[in-house]
Amino acid sequence: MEIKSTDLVSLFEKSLRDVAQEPLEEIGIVVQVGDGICHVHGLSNAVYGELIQFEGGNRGIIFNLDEDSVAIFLLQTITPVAELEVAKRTGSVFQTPVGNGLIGRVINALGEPLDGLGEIKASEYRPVESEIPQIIDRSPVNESLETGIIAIDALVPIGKGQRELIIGNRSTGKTAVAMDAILHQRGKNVLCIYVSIGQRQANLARTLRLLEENDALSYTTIVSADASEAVLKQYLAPYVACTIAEKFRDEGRDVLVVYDDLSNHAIAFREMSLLLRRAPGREAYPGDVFYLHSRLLERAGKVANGASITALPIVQIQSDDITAFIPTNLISITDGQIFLDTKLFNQGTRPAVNVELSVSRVGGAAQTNAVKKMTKAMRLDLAQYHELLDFAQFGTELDEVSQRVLARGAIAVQILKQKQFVTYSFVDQSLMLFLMKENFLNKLDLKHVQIFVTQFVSYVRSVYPDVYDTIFKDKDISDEIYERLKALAKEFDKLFVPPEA
Amino acid sequence: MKGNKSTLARKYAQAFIRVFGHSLSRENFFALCKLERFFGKHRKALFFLSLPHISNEKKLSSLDVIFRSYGVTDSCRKLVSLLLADKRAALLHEVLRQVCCVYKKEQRLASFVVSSSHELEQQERAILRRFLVKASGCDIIDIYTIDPELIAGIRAQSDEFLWEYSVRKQLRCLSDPRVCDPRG
Repeated sequence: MEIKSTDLVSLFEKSLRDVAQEPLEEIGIVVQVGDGICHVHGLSNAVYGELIQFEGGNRGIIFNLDEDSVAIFLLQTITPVAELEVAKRTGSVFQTPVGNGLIGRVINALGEPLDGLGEIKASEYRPVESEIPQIIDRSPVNESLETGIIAIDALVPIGKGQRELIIGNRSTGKTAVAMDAILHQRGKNVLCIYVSIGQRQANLARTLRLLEENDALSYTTIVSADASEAVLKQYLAPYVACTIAEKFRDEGRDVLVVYDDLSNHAIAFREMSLLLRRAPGREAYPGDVFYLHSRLLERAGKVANGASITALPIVQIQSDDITAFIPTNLISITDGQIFLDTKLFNQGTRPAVNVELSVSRVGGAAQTNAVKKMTKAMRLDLAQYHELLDFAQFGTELDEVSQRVLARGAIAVQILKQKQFVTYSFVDQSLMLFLMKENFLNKLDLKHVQIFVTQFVSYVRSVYPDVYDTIFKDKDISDEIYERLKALAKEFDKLFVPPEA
Repeated sequence: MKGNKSTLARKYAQAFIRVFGHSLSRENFFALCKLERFFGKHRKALFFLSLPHISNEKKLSSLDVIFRSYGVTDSCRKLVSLLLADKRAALLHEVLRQVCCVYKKEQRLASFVVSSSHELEQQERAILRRFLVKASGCDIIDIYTIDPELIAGIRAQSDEFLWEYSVRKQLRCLSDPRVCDPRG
């Protein structure tokens, strides 16, 4: 008898035959629900990290495997899960959409759009946990990633593929530094991903507006897991962002990922672990909190095809204590840190980069030659300045050499000050630092230093574009250009008129 | 705490199966499961087991009445004696539940509740049974119910497996594709 596929009875007949239309699904039964977790009895063949589908529509990820039950963290808080509900194995892990369709979009940790611009057009879906590039697949970090912030590019240079930690107290400008770095990538063929973890929604709205106003959204993706989201989403968000970055990297593109901030990420993971009744360790964090961040940050790097993922993780400290658990973990994982000092911030030195405690382990290898030549002794100048500053505050008479050191250091501090959302190319920075190196700023009042250097840069760019373009093209300052710059600086010095007080 | 109780109960259950498992017939097993369900519905019936001023003999003889009605006197009596001696009589229901689970696992028994939109004929039940035995690799205990909400189709569910082919499921997939889509 011929079976009509549209007929409900024949649908029924088909299902009764030995050839199954639907597979036999492995299930478990929910025995306990609460605090975003549910315990499911059964699922004896389920694996750790597997995605579980509930009949009521919710989904979750397995985080604990016990002898006859599993603990599942729920992905959504608004879809209820009832006792005795059926939970099915999906046989797969949690995956996120990746691809060019994510550029310019704001998504949550589940890959759902938050910007109201329609569905995400993903080119593929990838698991959020992936294998880390092996040593043989990596190449050295030797290309500069400009942040546009002179204090960082000159003294703590970042390379493409580096992991540079931004660490500081609350309200010291950590996010501002990261934002400036993102804004500076316009036109540099570097895609940016900003991950907001456990932040306020108002902060994200402000960030989004800033990126829109500066046309940065055309190369930026935002992944958001704000403070009101379930802890599982806050836990997943950085991994989702890294997976998106890996797709771009595999296509041969450079990516900058900002994790803001990983201290909230660690707190979310701690909450999850305590709810799972795992044994708490130091500061109540679970024993594998180091692995939480190491496996995330090790996915950054420069690979053999030349593409890279540069990571700028942010961590917040309390009372300038960088010896706390999570900050020390991250300091040991990353390739350097930028320490933002509260005292400097309050004194008006912004960005408040503490040069003595900041370091880039990649260093000069990732710095353009033009800037490198101008900053040879700058770190030493600043260190000597800060040491002598303490003596100067006592009002003691200092010798001439010490006074010269103080004067030079004060000029260096002035040059390193920079307004928010104002970024400088490496050419601009090398010109500014050139002035300091050749002592063209010694006779100026400190309040005029900033104006002098910025006007000099504009002067060279507009009046002598050939010099500017040569430095830009060569990424270096030859001896000939160096001599020309000396002449130009003398010329500008005569033309400069300090503004009225 | 709850986890510890369950673990402890499982150990008693494993010991019970090792000692009495070979002599437990299928009927005895069903009787034990019914007993477990009875105690599950009437938890207050076991309250007196935790009262210290009632002697163990009196407690045992009270339970004998229930055990006799389910035909599981000898084995259950010994189990209760052990629990009373260990001062863990409150675990009786949990132990019986674990006994049913462990026995099913060891004998590869799966208890399927088969819901269908209308009454299934004997031949249809036989086809379904054959399919479930083949797919699950277990010996099947099947219970049949009618569920008009399926609209059309069948749903066979055990503790570990689910097989559903119904219009209700298709509609659910249409309204929320993630129900059928394994992607995250």
